[in-house]
Amino acid sequence: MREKTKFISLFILSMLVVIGLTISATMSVLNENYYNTVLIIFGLILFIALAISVLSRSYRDMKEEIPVQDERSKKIRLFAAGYAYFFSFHLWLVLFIFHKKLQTDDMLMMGLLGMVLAFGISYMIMRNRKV
Amino acid sequence: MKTKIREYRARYRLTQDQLAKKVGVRRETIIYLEKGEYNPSLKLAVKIARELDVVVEELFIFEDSDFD
Repeated sequence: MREKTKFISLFILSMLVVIGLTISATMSVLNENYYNTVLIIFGLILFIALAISVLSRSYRDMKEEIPVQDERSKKIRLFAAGYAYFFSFHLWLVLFIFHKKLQTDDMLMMGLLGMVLAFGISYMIMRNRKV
Repeated sequence: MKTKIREYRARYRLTQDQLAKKVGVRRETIIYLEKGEYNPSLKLAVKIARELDVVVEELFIFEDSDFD
C-alpha cells in the first residue's frame, strides 16, 4: 500500500510541477521575457526526464512489492542532502555577490535550479559510492 | 570488508531478490553488500545471518585495514 501511495503521490506532484512550469513559461512568453522562457523550458525538460526515470522506477517497485525505502537508501539520501546543502549554500553566496548584476527573478531561478541539480547530482554520485 | 553472502545464498538457492524480500531491504542493498561496498547496520547483519543460518562473524570478514 505504501508503494502505491508513493507512486500516486509522485505522479500527482510531477503533474503539478509540469503544469506550473508550463504556465510560467507561457507567462514569460506573453511578457516577452524570452531569456526566462528559455531557462524555464530547460528546467521543464530536465524535470520531465527526471520524473520519467523516478516514476518508472516507482511503478516497477510498486508492481514487484519492493520496499519504498531501506536503511541504505535512507543513508544515501541523508549523505546526498548534506553535500547538496554544502553546494547550495555556496551557490547562494555567489548569487548574492552578483545580485546587483542579476534580476531578482533570474537569481531565484538559478538558485532554485542549482539546489535541485545539486541534490540530484549528489544523489546519483552517492548511490554508486561505498557508504 | 568482504562478505560470504553470495556463497551462503547459493547454498540455499536464493536469488538476491528473494533474500532482499526476506530481510526487508531493496535488491540493490544486497548487491552492494555482496560487493563489500555497503556497511550494514547490526540489525540487518543479524537478520541476514539468521536467514542464511550462519553467525554474523562467518558472513562478514573484516581485515585490519578496515579498522583504520
